[in-house]
Amino acid sequence: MTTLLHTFFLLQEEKSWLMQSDKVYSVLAVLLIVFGTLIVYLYFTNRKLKKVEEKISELEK
Amino acid sequence: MIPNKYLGIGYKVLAVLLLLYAVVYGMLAQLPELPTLGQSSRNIFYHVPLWFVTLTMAGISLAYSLKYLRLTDPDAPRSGNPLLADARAREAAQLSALFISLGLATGIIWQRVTWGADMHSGELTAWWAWDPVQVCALIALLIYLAYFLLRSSFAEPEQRARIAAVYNIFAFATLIPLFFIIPKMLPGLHPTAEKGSFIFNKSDISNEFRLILYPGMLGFVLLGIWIFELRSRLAIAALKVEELLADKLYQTTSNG
Repeated sequence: MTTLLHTFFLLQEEKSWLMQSDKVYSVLAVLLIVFGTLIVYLYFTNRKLKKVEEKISELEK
Repeated sequence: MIPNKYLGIGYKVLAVLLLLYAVVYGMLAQLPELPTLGQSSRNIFYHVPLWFVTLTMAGISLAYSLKYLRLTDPDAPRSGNPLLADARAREAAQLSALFISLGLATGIIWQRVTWGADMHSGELTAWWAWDPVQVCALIALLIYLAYFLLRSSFAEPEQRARIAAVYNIFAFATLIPLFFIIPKMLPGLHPTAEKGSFIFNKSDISNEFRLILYPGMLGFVLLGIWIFELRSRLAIAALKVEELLADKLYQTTSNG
């Protein structure tokens, strides 16, 4: 776990990339997490909806 | 009187515009310099609204659970499908859990660059400070996850819906002490500790922040309602499939 955290969040120097440029990257990370998750969630909802609609038209035949 | 069709499109357009404003202006606006926070103070525009969506979705879920119980009350007049109310309660609870998870994840990132700024990335407390607000949010998430676990342990739809509806009332009730009482009673790292919400307090947050935060909050809440509407449509379609399958099964058995 520690190694994983090091790989993702710690550069060779002591400063994490999140801290650079007056910590503005943390805002970008937050935006990415929020909108990235919502887009993925909506994509799967849409896929599920398509499947259910296909099933309805199949059953109504 | 505004027709429902225009209202339905209007709130979605408003959600998109408000979110665009919050993201673009929230990233570009000149804001007062804050010690320790630096540019990370902009996270307030995207982290705080998630909790408002969580509460909105939990409220919607509670309303549909109560509707389910009212519709299944033998003394009350029946006007609607109780299982549809249950499905909507489930979808709203799912969104509530999703937004709690997002709030926790974004909080972890923000805490890393503020409270955990001087710590090594390998230390757990650099990411999770055991702050009362954080812990209460985690408990709230576990309570909502238990709701889904409870649902999955019943095969019979009516029994499942009834027990889930009663549990959902308890789940919502726990949010009140978890979000509004306990964090005020315990010392913590959040600015809300011991003092309560600073979001609506004029002396604690400058107008530059309020100008972006409030429209952003409304935008996120409208987005949550939009996603809930989509999930409701999916739930209605899934119920229709079940009805059609039951009809088909009935036809097959009566013909055979």
